[in-house]
Amino acid sequence: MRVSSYAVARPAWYDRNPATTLLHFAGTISPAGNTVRYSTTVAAGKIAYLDMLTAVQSRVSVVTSGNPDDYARLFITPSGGASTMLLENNQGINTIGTGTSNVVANAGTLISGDLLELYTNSGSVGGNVRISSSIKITTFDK
Amino acid sequence: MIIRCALIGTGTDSDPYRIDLPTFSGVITNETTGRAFADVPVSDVPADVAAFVSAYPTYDLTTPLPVPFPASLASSWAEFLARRYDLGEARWHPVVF
Repeated sequence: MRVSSYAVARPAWYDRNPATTLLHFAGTISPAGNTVRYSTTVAAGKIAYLDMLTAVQSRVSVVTSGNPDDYARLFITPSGGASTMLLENNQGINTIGTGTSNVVANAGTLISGDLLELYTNSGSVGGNVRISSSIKITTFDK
Repeated sequence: MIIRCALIGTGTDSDPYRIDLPTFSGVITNETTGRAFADVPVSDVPADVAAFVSAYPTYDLTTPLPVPFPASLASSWAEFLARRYDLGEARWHPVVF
């Protein structure tokens, strides 16, 4: 935290020791359990603007039985609170090359202790999907 | 930096497979061996841990390390993260695996 004289205006947020964090995952998912592919935690004395988040899926091979059940989910766990889903990207079409995408800009503000995680899961029988997801965060002093 | 870490969790909704670190990305896992590659911010890796990772490079998710990750390094990494994030208690105990 920056300490300054009362005679000086407090710097704007983008002048308070800013840092950019980029988290990314790209991979082809076979049937697998719930897995955290990226995660970030806001440290004490910091605030983070969630500038942008994206999630994209496309089917690489078809499931062999039943319906596809593949997803990428972004969860936020506020400091001291319960985990809540922020975004879900689900690939429910069983045709190679089909896909879904989500892009969200200016997605919110995180405070100290908040946790943001990308979960992937494939409950399908056979088949796989390609998942790509990114977030951009600007962190600065409180 | 890319580090091969121990994978924790059981893959369920309430206990997903994950790395015991506050910030990481690009996770590729092998649930059978319990190992995962993760991209960890350099600022979250103390110099002695970075030196160990450089000394014992890993190329797959199956071949064991030639020497186990020292408990003293695991302990100092946990303390480093607790100080850096300063969120009340040491909540992360990552292990190079």
